[in-house]
Amino acid sequence: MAAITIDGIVKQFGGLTVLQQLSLHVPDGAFYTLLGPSGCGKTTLLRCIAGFYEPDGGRLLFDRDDVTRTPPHRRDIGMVFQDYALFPDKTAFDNVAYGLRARQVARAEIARRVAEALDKVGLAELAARYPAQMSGGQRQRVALARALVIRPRVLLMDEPLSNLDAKMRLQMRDVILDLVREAGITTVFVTHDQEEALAMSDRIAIMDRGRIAQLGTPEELYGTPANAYVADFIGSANLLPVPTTGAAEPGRVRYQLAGHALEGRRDGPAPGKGQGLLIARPEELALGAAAPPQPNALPGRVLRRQYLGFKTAYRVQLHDGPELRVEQHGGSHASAFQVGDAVQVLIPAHSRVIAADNA
Amino acid sequence: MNIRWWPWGLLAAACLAVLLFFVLYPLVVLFGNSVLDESGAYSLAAFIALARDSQFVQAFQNSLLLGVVVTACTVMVGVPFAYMVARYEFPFKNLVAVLPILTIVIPEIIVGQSWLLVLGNNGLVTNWLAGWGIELPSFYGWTGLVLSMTLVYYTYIYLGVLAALRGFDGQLEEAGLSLGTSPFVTRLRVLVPVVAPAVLVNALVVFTLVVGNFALSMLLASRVPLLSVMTYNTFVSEMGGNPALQSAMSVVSIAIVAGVLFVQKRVVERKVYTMTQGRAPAPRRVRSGASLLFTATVGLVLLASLLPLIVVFVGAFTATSGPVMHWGSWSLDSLQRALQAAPEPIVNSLRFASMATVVGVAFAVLASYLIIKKRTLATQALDYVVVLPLTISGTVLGIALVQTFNTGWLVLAGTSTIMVLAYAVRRLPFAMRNASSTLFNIPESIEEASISLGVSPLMTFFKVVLPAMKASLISSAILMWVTTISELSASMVVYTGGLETMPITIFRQVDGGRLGLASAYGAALVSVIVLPIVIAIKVFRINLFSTK
Amino acid sequence: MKIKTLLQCTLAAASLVAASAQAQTVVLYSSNNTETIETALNVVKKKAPSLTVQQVTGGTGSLMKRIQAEAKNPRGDVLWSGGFGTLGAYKDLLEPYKAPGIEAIPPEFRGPGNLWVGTNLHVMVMMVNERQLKGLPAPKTWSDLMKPEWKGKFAITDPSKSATAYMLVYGLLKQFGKDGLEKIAANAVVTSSSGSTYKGTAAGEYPVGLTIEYAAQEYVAGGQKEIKLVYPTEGSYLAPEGMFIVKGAKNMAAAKTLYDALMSKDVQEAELVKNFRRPTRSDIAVSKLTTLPDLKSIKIFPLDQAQASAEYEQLVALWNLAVSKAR
Repeated sequence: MAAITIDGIVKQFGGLTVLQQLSLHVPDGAFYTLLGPSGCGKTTLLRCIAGFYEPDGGRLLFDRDDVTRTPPHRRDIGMVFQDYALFPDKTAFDNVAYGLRARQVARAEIARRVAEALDKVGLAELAARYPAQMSGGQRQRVALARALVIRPRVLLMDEPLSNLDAKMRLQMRDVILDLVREAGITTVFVTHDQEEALAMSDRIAIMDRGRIAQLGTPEELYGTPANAYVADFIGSANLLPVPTTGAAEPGRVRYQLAGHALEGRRDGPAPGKGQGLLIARPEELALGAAAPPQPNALPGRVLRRQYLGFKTAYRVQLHDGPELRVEQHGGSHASAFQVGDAVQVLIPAHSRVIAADNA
Repeated sequence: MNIRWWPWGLLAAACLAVLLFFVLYPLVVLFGNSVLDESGAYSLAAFIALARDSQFVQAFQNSLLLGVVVTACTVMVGVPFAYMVARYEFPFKNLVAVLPILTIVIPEIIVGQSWLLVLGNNGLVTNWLAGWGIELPSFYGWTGLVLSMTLVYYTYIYLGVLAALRGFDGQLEEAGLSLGTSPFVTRLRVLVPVVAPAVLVNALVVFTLVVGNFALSMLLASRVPLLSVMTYNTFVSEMGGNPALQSAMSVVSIAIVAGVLFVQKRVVERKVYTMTQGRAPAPRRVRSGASLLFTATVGLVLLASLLPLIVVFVGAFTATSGPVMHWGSWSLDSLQRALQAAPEPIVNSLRFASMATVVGVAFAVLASYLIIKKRTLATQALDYVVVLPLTISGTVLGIALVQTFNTGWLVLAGTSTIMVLAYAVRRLPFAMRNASSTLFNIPESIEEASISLGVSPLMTFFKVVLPAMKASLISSAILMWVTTISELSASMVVYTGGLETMPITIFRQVDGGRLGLASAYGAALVSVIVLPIVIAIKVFRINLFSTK
Repeated sequence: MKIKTLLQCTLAAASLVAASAQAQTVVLYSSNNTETIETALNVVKKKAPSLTVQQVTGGTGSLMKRIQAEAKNPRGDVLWSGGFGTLGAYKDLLEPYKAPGIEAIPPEFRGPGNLWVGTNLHVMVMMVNERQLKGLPAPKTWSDLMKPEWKGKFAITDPSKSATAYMLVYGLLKQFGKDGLEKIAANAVVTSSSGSTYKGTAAGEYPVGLTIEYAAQEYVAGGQKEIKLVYPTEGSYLAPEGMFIVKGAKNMAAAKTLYDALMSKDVQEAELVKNFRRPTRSDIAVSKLTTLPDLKSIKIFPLDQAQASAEYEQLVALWNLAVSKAR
């Protein structure tokens, strides 16, 4: 098991710089996720760690070993590919045994470890099957077993759950986490699904056009997004430009919205008078009937309503203000509003305002 | 599926009937004749006679051995070449796109003749080297056979392996690398097992083609008894007499091919793996030293493939005295003779090839449509019967047709009909393959849309399906044209005086030692083949080889 | 099937139209090569300008079989040319015709009852490729070839596949008996066509080929310096070839015109000079027109053509036996 140090990695394709002086440290045994939309460079970074791409600048270290120029077959990694990349001409057993055979492990030992690995992923009885005879989920598990059985220093996973159906995806999340925790392997996981990232990771690196926009725990990213990009990527948010009118106390800031003077939370230095960006999560906004009017509540009208079972999503047009997305959780009929209803929206006092140029 | 009789049920039955009559029935007659003796009683006398004939046994062994050797050589040439083209980027690499076209365009007989002109005992290069004191081995016999056949057949392996490599998911190799095997070992353990079936399938095809080969064998095998040559010679000498021996030999040839097909179905095709849609690894740029080697290899292969073309055109314009070629002196005599004085072979070739193309493509389109879109028992039977001609050599097919249609109520022997028939039957499977792959990609929904708008199913076929297949129709037609106009082995058996085609004439001129005249006809043949291809590619912008 | 029947009908109609359009047409079945036919027809055109000749080419054997198959409804008019033995076997397909000027052709080269007339006299010779001899002395006699050092070094055509080869083997049998024939069979490489023999020798595959005079001469005259023509001192064998009119020919008058023309001095001279075909006519001075010797200066071992044809089956069987003994 090794810690991974990515130090100023640069990668270019043709004239395009895909990774820009990227640095990241993954502690030994941690589960880190690279999250972002397609084109942000997360897969490129993963493949640099694997060794399939050679970086144009910077260094890569496993613990203290500089592996920047080491070819992939000598880096002692385990990799799980998006479409599993099982060898079609080999049985599950032979697929899993492949890496052990390459390491000249004794036959009896191979048999034991392969059986153990297949057992751990619940596929002991499929050892003699070929990939063509297995379902997607089964292939995924064989791929996992194959990567883990060799006890690599690091485990790299490139969107391994994207090709599975929803139910299988949830199941496999647990399987992966259990196996990885048990083995204590340093894992780098790539995905574009933020829910997956939040559920599985120790820390998440959100990537934006070749740079890390923010590195933090799921709570940090959700609760204190550093900028609008992160705020919009993790969970959903209403991002509202608001003029700020100075600080009330340390950590607080006053701002204007829809004709009301409100207070919110801030991190960092006092903004003074200027432009800020209000991050208001829809599920944190309270929605109430228009009467009686509450102080600090913004009046508006319901434009659209979507009933989704466990929650109801509304679009509310504020009088003298922008449109807001509001969500109500739970199915209580009493608080259900219809299109056209007059309502008022309460923005919680802990809603964050970040400086506009942070966006 | 409901069997509705109009229009598709009827058409399917008609197609099946036609095929059964013109393909299956002659084969049955052939088999019958092999086990009948002169009195009409059943007997295995013919086969026993063959088994006892040491010349035949020798020919049988030689043909198998030649098949194995040539197949091995084509694999040794084709596989590395395909790997080079698939995985590397080097200067002038795009010239290789020309190769498959060349192989189709240049008929075998011209290849054989040209190599003889160059490397034969009195060949240009042979004489030149003799001037330096270097004696080349005789081109006749094993040397020439293996060399020329390898050059003619390597493209099958090359194209098959290239396709397999291009469809190979590069992630498999990366997985191998990630698990710790070096690049070389990874390719060995991961790439080879997956690509091997493609090699095997095509190798088996090459084997059957070598065993059934006519033109090169007749030209070069003088002291080497070969099955195909012996079968043809027996046919010629038995003409009008008891066809038992020729039938028995034909049956032996069919048995060999059937055996090979069996092996292919049972052993090889089981191992063909479907891979998820993956990216093939992008071709890597080669370092400048190695790139020179790669470009040189491509150049060499290209030159060897182009040589027959060059030699044929040079020979056509060379002065001759009877059988002697005066290289370096030029004359239009041979061409004048071919084009003006005796142009009948050219006219015949054009006639038969056009008719066969029209008949063949029309039948292929209709039959493919029925097989793919209107599946019934009849169409499934159609699917199997159509493939039959692929399994037998042209010589054997010709023999079967002549035996069947020489007498009885339908006498076609001696007419152009039998020529057109032989061509159409032989090349039908290719046209069908072409049509089928296009039809697969035409969704049912467009026909249903047309019907819902009030157009009958039959009219929908003409107004919607056929136009959607336009590119495929043209490429099928061209493929059929090119392959029928250069057909030799069935023609030689089936033709009678007055019906000679260009390949037959070329063969006979080469046989008579008239290489100048043969070259003139050869140049005409190649021109007539190339013209439609050039038109298709430049004017209609059709990629002829995407659906191979 | 409909399309094919339609095609057949169209073709038949077209040929009918074509046939009726020409008056003086004659259909020639010929086994000679393009130049030979061309040479003859060029002369014929001058002699009979209104005659249109339609050629159908093929091997003698296949053409004869075709004539036989068409016996009830002959489509060919004249056949040119076939070995006397072959012609003799198909007597009932031949139309007797005594052409004017036939006296110029010696009686031994005419068919019985004027069923056919000889047009060319083929002399069987030894064609030697000096470059391939490699130390062996050039052979002068047939007996030379029976010596052990000639094993596998000369080519002979299968007598069942060629009329001229047949006469050669028949001659060898008559001159040297069964033993001699077996010695030749033991040493010879047997090819399946006349073409293979002389082409192979010219191409250097065999040092010696037993073949027809004109075939060898074409290479000599064409400038291939290493090719030499040798008349064996023990005697060569003659294989005359002739033409005939098909019995019941549709264009009888035109056929006779063609027959006369092909037999004429002009045609035979042209064939001699251009294609080295020795004429049967006695009024042509061969040695003056070419480098070939006159017939009377060549030693010929005499053979009875009619008897040769009668003994066909026995000879072929004997030869096959000799060949299989040798393997």
